[in-house]
Amino acid sequence: MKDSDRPAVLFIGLSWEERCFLGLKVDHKYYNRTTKVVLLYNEHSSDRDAANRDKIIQYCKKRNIIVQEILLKYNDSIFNWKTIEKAIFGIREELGRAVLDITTLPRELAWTLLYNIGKYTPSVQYIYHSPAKYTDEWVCKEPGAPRLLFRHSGISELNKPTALIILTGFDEIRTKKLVEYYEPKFLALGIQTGSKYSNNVRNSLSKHLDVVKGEVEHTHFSIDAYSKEHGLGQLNRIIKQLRGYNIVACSHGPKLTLVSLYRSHQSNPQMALCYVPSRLYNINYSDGIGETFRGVIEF
Amino acid sequence: MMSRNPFEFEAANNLTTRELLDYYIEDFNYSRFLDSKRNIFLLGERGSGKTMTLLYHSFKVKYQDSRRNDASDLLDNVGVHIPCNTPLFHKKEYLLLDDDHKAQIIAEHYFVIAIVNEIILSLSLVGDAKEAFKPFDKEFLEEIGYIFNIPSRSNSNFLDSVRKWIGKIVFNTQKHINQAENIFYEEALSLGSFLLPLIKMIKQVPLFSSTHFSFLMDDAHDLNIHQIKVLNSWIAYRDHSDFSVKLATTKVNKPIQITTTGGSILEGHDFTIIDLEKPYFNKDSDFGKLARQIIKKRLLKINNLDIEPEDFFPTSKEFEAALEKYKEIARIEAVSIYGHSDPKKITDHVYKYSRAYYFRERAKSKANLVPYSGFSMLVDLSTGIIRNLLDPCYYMYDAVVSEASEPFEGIHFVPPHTQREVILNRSNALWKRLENGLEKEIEGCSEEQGKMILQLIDNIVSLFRERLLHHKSEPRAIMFSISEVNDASFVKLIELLRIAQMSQLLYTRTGVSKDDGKKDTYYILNRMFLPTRGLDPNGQHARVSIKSKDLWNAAKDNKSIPYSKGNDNSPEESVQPKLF
Repeated sequence: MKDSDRPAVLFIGLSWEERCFLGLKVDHKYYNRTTKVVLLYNEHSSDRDAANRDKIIQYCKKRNIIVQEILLKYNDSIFNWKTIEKAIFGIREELGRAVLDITTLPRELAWTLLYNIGKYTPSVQYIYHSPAKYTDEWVCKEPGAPRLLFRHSGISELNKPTALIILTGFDEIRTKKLVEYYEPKFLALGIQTGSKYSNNVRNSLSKHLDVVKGEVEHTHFSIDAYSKEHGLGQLNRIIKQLRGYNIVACSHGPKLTLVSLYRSHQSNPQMALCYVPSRLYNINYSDGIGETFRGVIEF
Repeated sequence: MMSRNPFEFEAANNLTTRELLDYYIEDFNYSRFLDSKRNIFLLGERGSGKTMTLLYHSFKVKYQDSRRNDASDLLDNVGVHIPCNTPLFHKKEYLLLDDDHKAQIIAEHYFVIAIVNEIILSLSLVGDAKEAFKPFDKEFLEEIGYIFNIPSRSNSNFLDSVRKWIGKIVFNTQKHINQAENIFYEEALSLGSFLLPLIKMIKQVPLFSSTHFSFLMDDAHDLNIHQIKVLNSWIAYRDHSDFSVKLATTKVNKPIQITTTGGSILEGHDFTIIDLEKPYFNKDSDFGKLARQIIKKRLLKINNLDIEPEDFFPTSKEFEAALEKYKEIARIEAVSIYGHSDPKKITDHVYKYSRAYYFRERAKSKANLVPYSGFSMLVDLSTGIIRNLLDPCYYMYDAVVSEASEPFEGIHFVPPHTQREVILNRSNALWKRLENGLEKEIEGCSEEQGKMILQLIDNIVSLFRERLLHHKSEPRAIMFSISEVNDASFVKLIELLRIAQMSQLLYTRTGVSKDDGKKDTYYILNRMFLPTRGLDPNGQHARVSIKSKDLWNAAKDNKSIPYSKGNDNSPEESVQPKLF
């Protein structure tokens, strides 16, 4: 039986973005035997997300798809971890059919889901819908303090210095914040290749280097989130070069790098995964829906 | 071949021991505290030199300081440097435990592991250590090995065995916490169960019988509540003959003083505070002298250049000549007012007004033509923070290198016009940072607060500019204190000031109020704000008293801060030099 013909349990992060609901329609067209949608949403942005929530619920109701909602709290990683852990345990029998739509899921939540789903099933499918375009304005601001992901905080060795790997995005202030917070001995910047979404301008190496000038020894490498492996090869190469360090790694930029970083962590559990929350996201964050990417993560 | 920029300001933890010894200037006022058995809180904002100070006082660095002829006195106080800003201390899985007590046990376990590791590494540096331990190896290994299951082979050395075992413990702990169903690590170590017994054992060895261990805990402001309570409990421990805690933290996020049992630690009784932010920072102050030594040493060690900072950063001749001219103008004026009978009044008058007249004259022209330059100017602009001193120096050196022609023959000074350009650029960059919004970089700062802080600072600087241009008695005052703090506005204002401090846009000092002799906090803007507005970073020993509600109105509604041009209802206070 083709994957797409199997009954599916679809995990979605609720968002106001168009591609949240449009993505569900694409997902359902592909996984045409979806039986349940697990909708993760955040009380902090519930007003903004309300329209999409209603659309999703109505859409599912018409098609006899059960909607299970998981209410989370903004910036409360302890509450969110425990809530997701409990929710996943409750549906552990259904996880053989799990499909994770990471499009509008915050990275920390996506990783938390992956860990918990991985306890009960050997693999999970993932989907990502890129937008038609991003806003020309700011995308997110007011970054919070970086934090290590529970259970993925690595295995540090005493006497080793810290190296920071940042897969960069449009916001160089997050790069600055990470460097200031961890004060690494060495910084490796993973820069997305290409000019899609004006990446070559908005996510240029020079922008990120400017904010850390004189503060830390650094290198950079190219990464292509939209390639088949989402840059896993480049990532593993840099990790190998940084064997003499305790590594902390963070994914900003194209969402698909959360997949490559997670896979990298699976084979390099000594590396810590890190997340920097943002308090504000631009209401005009993105428009429409673009290309869809699919894959499988093995546990 | 290009020379290395001697003014790099890499985080102190990332310097080699050699670099640290090359850069660091010892301050004997602090050394006697840090070498004592007292618990110390070392306070200073980012860039004030906390880590450098702790590292310098660590045994590892002291022992490798080749200037020391006799290492035996080093064993009286063995400082072990523990950076708290590491991935190990950032691990927070124990927050998932529902039991605070268990969370504190794990927090303490990480501290103990890190400290034991550093103790072993430090003692292993001592050439005679292995020999000294030899008579005790078997006995110690049997005693501790039995309780903690430390494997040992015949001919095992105690220090090596513990070091390897600790390495295994740190791995096992993390593996367990990352993977096991039950996060709690049952075999956690504590001060009482392992660290103190280990220290007591070490002190049985004659070579170490008088050794006191100082735990130099760095970046304590990054620790969470469980970690802080554990350290506070150690600080509260009655007997400090064997160990003490020296804790470096920022002022703004200074940790709470509560222990794991709900008690509290008290300044004076349990710990002493050292404030690294020097109160006065002209070139003749303590900080000025420190700045001179820092610049000189870096130029000598890295560029092999033996030169006075004034020669490497010469003041513009035009500026020097102008200041002399206005000194004479002020002197003539003073004589006409006071006559010749009171030389002190003449001197005071010249001090107060000569530079003010110069800057007033410059302010009349639309372009900012003040030729900001000179070592003394750099000291003023630093606002007493080492990192702020090095920042413009770094960019100045970079600018000269990039303009240098081939073959590169080194740099012997930075031309005044380059200094001015860089100073104005760095001043503009600081304003830009504020205008871009602090909410982008400071956790907990909203966009609205970012805007209010911009308005607040803008209006304070505008006030200083107005005073410079028009004020009769204290035209160059650029520090302020806040009056009427009982007003409701103060509570809202203090949060903005806290964020501004965290961003190193504002610093605080403690002085004595002239009115009632009580301790008073006064505020100093990062002086790098001033060049863009044509102000004099040199300032004078006076502070402006501003009402809380006026500052709040400036922040919230962008209202100008009112002041009077004379001495009546804007009370200034003269700040007594050499208070500390």
